[in-house]
Amino acid sequence: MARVLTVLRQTSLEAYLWMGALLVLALTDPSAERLLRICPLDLLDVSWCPGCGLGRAIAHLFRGEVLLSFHMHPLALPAVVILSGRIVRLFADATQRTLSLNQSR
Amino acid sequence: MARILRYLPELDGDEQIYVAQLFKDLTDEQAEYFSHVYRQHRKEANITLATALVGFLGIAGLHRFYMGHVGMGLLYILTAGLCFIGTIVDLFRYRDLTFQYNRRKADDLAVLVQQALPPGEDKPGELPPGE
Repeated sequence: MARVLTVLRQTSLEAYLWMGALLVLALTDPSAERLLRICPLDLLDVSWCPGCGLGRAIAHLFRGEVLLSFHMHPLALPAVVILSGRIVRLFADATQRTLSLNQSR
Repeated sequence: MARILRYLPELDGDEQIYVAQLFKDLTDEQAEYFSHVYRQHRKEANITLATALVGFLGIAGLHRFYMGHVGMGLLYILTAGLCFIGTIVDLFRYRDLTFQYNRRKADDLAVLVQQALPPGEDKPGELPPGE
Protein backbone atom coordinates (compact mmCIF):
# COMPACT_ATOMS: atom_id res chain seq x y z
CA MET A 1 0.00 0.00 0.00
CA ALA A 2 2.84 2.35 0.87
CA ARG A 3 4.41 1.61 -2.49
CA VAL A 4 1.18 2.41 -4.30
CA LEU A 5 1.14 5.78 -2.58
CA THR A 6 4.77 6.34 -3.55
CA VAL A 7 3.96 5.57 -7.17
CA LEU A 8 1.07 8.01 -7.06
CA ARG A 9 3.30 10.70 -5.61
CA GLN A 10 6.09 9.95 -8.07
CA THR A 11 3.75 10.22 -11.05
CA SER A 12 4.16 13.35 -13.06
CA LEU A 13 1.54 16.06 -12.67
CA GLU A 14 0.91 15.78 -16.39
CA ALA A 15 -0.82 12.41 -15.90
CA TYR A 16 -3.25 13.92 -13.41
CA LEU A 17 -3.89 16.91 -15.68
CA TRP A 18 -4.88 14.68 -18.58
CA MET A 19 -7.00 12.51 -16.30
CA GLY A 20 -8.67 15.62 -14.94
CA ALA A 21 -9.35 16.92 -18.44
CA LEU A 22 -10.85 13.61 -19.54
CA LEU A 23 -12.94 13.48 -16.38
CA VAL A 24 -14.29 16.98 -16.95
CA LEU A 25 -15.17 16.05 -20.52
CA ALA A 26 -16.82 12.85 -19.37
CA LEU A 27 -19.02 14.84 -17.06
CA THR A 28 -19.85 17.58 -19.56
CA ASP A 29 -22.97 17.56 -21.66
CA PRO A 30 -21.77 18.29 -25.19
CA SER A 31 -25.17 19.15 -26.59
CA ALA A 32 -25.94 21.79 -23.98
CA GLU A 33 -25.47 25.48 -24.55
CA ARG A 34 -21.83 26.18 -23.87
CA LEU A 35 -21.08 27.62 -20.44
CA LEU A 36 -17.39 28.27 -20.86
CA ARG A 37 -15.56 29.78 -23.77
CA ILE A 38 -11.97 29.09 -22.93
CA CYS A 39 -10.50 28.56 -26.36
CA PRO A 40 -8.51 31.65 -27.34
CA LEU A 41 -9.27 31.18 -31.02
CA ASP A 42 -12.96 30.84 -30.32
CA LEU A 43 -12.85 34.07 -28.37
CA LEU A 44 -11.26 35.77 -31.34
CA ASP A 45 -14.00 34.46 -33.64
CA VAL A 46 -11.59 32.27 -35.54
CA SER A 47 -13.35 29.49 -37.41
CA TRP A 48 -10.56 27.62 -39.14
CA CYS A 49 -8.96 25.94 -36.13
CA PRO A 50 -8.33 22.23 -36.88
CA GLY A 51 -9.00 21.31 -33.29
CA CYS A 52 -12.40 22.92 -33.01
CA GLY A 53 -14.98 20.64 -31.48
CA LEU A 54 -12.54 18.10 -30.11
CA GLY A 55 -13.64 18.58 -26.50
CA ARG A 56 -17.29 18.15 -27.36
CA ALA A 57 -16.47 15.16 -29.53
CA ILE A 58 -14.69 13.47 -26.63
CA ALA A 59 -17.66 14.20 -24.39
CA HIS A 60 -19.90 12.48 -26.94
CA LEU A 61 -17.60 9.47 -26.91
CA PHE A 62 -17.91 9.16 -23.15
CA ARG A 63 -21.65 9.06 -23.64
CA GLY A 64 -21.42 6.34 -26.25
CA GLU A 65 -22.59 8.70 -29.01
CA VAL A 66 -19.98 7.52 -31.49
CA LEU A 67 -21.57 8.95 -34.62
CA LEU A 68 -22.15 12.35 -33.03
CA SER A 69 -18.57 12.27 -31.84
CA PHE A 70 -17.15 11.52 -35.27
CA HIS A 71 -19.28 14.26 -36.80
CA MET A 72 -18.11 16.81 -34.26
CA HIS A 73 -14.44 15.91 -34.69
CA PRO A 74 -13.19 12.72 -36.35
CA LEU A 75 -10.09 12.44 -34.19
CA ALA A 76 -11.77 12.21 -30.82
CA LEU A 77 -11.13 8.48 -30.44
CA PRO A 78 -7.44 8.64 -31.45
CA ALA A 79 -7.09 11.61 -29.10
CA VAL A 80 -8.47 9.63 -26.16
CA VAL A 81 -6.35 6.61 -27.06
CA ILE A 82 -3.17 8.65 -27.33
CA LEU A 83 -3.86 10.57 -24.12
CA SER A 84 -4.64 7.34 -22.28
CA GLY A 85 -1.42 5.89 -23.60
CA ARG A 86 0.45 8.91 -22.29
CA ILE A 87 -1.21 8.62 -18.87
CA VAL A 88 -0.34 4.93 -18.65
CA ARG A 89 3.24 5.66 -19.71
CA LEU A 90 3.61 8.28 -16.99
CA PHE A 91 2.33 5.86 -14.34
CA ALA A 92 4.62 3.16 -15.70
CA ASP A 93 7.60 5.50 -15.37
CA ALA A 94 6.65 6.28 -11.79
CA THR A 95 6.29 2.58 -11.02
CA GLN A 96 9.69 1.83 -12.49
CA ARG A 97 11.22 4.65 -10.47
CA THR A 98 9.56 3.46 -7.28
CA LEU A 99 10.75 -0.10 -7.80
CA SER A 100 14.32 1.00 -8.43
CA LEU A 101 14.21 3.28 -5.39
CA ASN A 102 13.18 0.30 -3.30
CA GLN A 103 15.96 -1.83 -4.70
CA SER A 104 18.68 0.62 -3.85
CA ARG A 105 17.65 0.71 -0.20
CA MET B 1 29.90 14.77 -6.60
CA ALA B 2 33.06 16.16 -8.11
CA ARG B 3 32.83 13.71 -10.98
CA ILE B 4 29.60 15.13 -12.27
CA LEU B 5 31.26 18.51 -12.48
CA ARG B 6 34.20 17.03 -14.27
CA TYR B 7 32.34 14.89 -16.80
CA LEU B 8 29.04 16.69 -17.31
CA PRO B 9 29.51 20.30 -16.26
CA GLU B 10 26.65 21.51 -18.41
CA LEU B 11 24.03 19.82 -16.27
CA ASP B 12 22.21 21.69 -13.57
CA GLY B 13 19.16 21.49 -11.32
CA ASP B 14 17.29 18.22 -10.99
CA GLU B 15 19.17 16.63 -13.87
CA GLN B 16 22.54 17.26 -12.26
CA ILE B 17 21.41 15.86 -8.93
CA TYR B 18 19.89 12.81 -10.55
CA VAL B 19 22.87 11.92 -12.71
CA ALA B 20 25.27 12.57 -9.82
CA GLN B 21 23.26 10.00 -7.89
CA LEU B 22 23.62 7.52 -10.75
CA PHE B 23 27.36 8.16 -10.82
CA LYS B 24 27.70 6.80 -7.30
CA ASP B 25 27.34 3.31 -8.70
CA LEU B 26 29.70 3.83 -11.61
CA THR B 27 33.45 3.47 -11.87
CA ASP B 28 35.44 6.33 -13.40
CA GLU B 29 35.63 4.54 -16.71
CA GLN B 30 31.90 3.86 -16.72
CA ALA B 31 31.15 7.46 -15.76
CA GLU B 32 33.29 8.73 -18.58
CA TYR B 33 31.63 6.48 -21.13
CA PHE B 34 28.23 7.37 -19.75
CA SER B 35 28.94 11.07 -20.06
CA HIS B 36 30.15 10.78 -23.62
CA VAL B 37 27.04 8.92 -24.75
CA TYR B 38 24.59 10.81 -22.55
CA ARG B 39 25.70 14.12 -23.97
CA GLN B 40 24.64 12.92 -27.43
CA HIS B 41 21.24 11.75 -26.31
CA ARG B 42 20.04 14.22 -23.74
CA LYS B 43 17.56 16.93 -24.63
CA GLU B 44 17.89 20.59 -23.77
CA ALA B 45 15.15 22.35 -21.82
CA ASN B 46 15.53 25.58 -23.83
CA ILE B 47 14.81 23.75 -27.06
CA THR B 48 11.74 22.17 -25.51
CA LEU B 49 10.60 25.64 -24.51
CA ALA B 50 11.31 27.15 -27.93
CA THR B 51 9.56 24.39 -29.86
CA ALA B 52 6.60 24.53 -27.50
CA LEU B 53 6.26 28.29 -28.04
CA VAL B 54 6.00 27.73 -31.78
CA GLY B 55 2.66 26.18 -30.94
CA PHE B 56 1.25 29.66 -30.51
CA LEU B 57 2.54 30.71 -33.89
CA GLY B 58 1.03 27.97 -35.98
CA ILE B 59 2.47 24.49 -35.58
CA ALA B 60 1.70 22.92 -32.21
CA GLY B 61 3.40 19.83 -30.89
CA LEU B 62 6.92 20.29 -32.21
CA HIS B 63 8.24 19.98 -28.69
CA ARG B 64 6.48 16.60 -28.43
CA PHE B 65 8.28 15.37 -31.52
CA TYR B 66 11.47 16.65 -29.98
CA MET B 67 10.78 14.46 -26.92
CA GLY B 68 10.04 11.49 -29.14
CA HIS B 69 6.31 11.51 -28.38
CA VAL B 70 5.20 10.94 -31.96
CA GLY B 71 1.57 10.11 -31.15
CA MET B 72 1.18 13.17 -28.96
CA GLY B 73 2.94 15.32 -31.55
CA LEU B 74 0.59 14.27 -34.32
CA LEU B 75 -2.39 14.80 -32.05
CA TYR B 76 -1.15 18.30 -31.24
CA ILE B 77 -0.58 19.22 -34.88
CA LEU B 78 -4.00 18.05 -35.96
CA THR B 79 -5.87 19.65 -33.07
CA ALA B 80 -4.00 22.94 -32.61
CA GLY B 81 -2.31 21.67 -29.47
CA LEU B 82 -5.49 20.15 -28.06
CA CYS B 83 -7.27 23.45 -28.41
CA PHE B 84 -4.18 25.23 -27.03
CA ILE B 85 -4.65 23.62 -23.65
CA GLY B 86 -1.96 21.07 -24.35
CA THR B 87 0.48 23.73 -25.49
CA ILE B 88 -0.16 25.91 -22.45
CA VAL B 89 0.18 23.04 -19.98
CA ASP B 90 3.38 21.90 -21.67
CA LEU B 91 4.78 25.42 -21.56
CA PHE B 92 4.40 25.54 -17.81
CA ARG B 93 6.03 22.15 -17.51
CA TYR B 94 8.72 22.26 -20.16
CA ARG B 95 11.52 21.71 -17.67
CA ASP B 96 9.83 18.69 -16.15
CA LEU B 97 9.05 17.24 -19.59
CA THR B 98 12.70 17.51 -20.57
CA PHE B 99 13.84 16.07 -17.27
CA GLN B 100 11.47 13.09 -17.61
CA TYR B 101 12.98 12.30 -20.97
CA ASN B 102 16.56 12.73 -19.79
CA ARG B 103 15.95 10.73 -16.65
CA ARG B 104 14.69 7.75 -18.63
CA LYS B 105 17.65 7.96 -20.98
CA ALA B 106 20.07 8.25 -18.05
CA ASP B 107 18.55 5.20 -16.31
CA ASP B 108 18.85 3.05 -19.42
CA LEU B 109 22.33 4.29 -20.13
CA ALA B 110 23.54 3.63 -16.59
CA VAL B 111 22.40 0.01 -16.85
CA LEU B 112 23.95 -0.36 -20.30
CA VAL B 113 27.24 1.11 -19.19
CA GLN B 114 27.49 -1.19 -16.19
CA GLN B 115 26.84 -4.21 -18.38
CA ALA B 116 29.16 -3.16 -21.20
CA LEU B 117 32.06 -2.07 -19.01
CA PRO B 118 32.19 -4.32 -15.96
CA PRO B 119 34.55 -2.94 -13.33
CA GLY B 120 38.07 -4.29 -13.48
CA GLU B 121 37.97 -5.15 -17.19
CA ASP B 122 41.02 -4.05 -19.10
CA LYS B 123 39.43 -4.10 -22.50
CA PRO B 124 35.96 -2.60 -22.71
CA GLY B 125 33.77 -4.07 -25.40
CA GLU B 126 35.08 -7.61 -25.09
CA LEU B 127 33.11 -10.34 -23.37
CA PRO B 128 34.24 -11.26 -19.88
CA PRO B 129 36.43 -14.39 -19.80
CA GLY B 130 34.87 -17.77 -19.16
CA GLU B 131 31.12 -18.44 -18.98
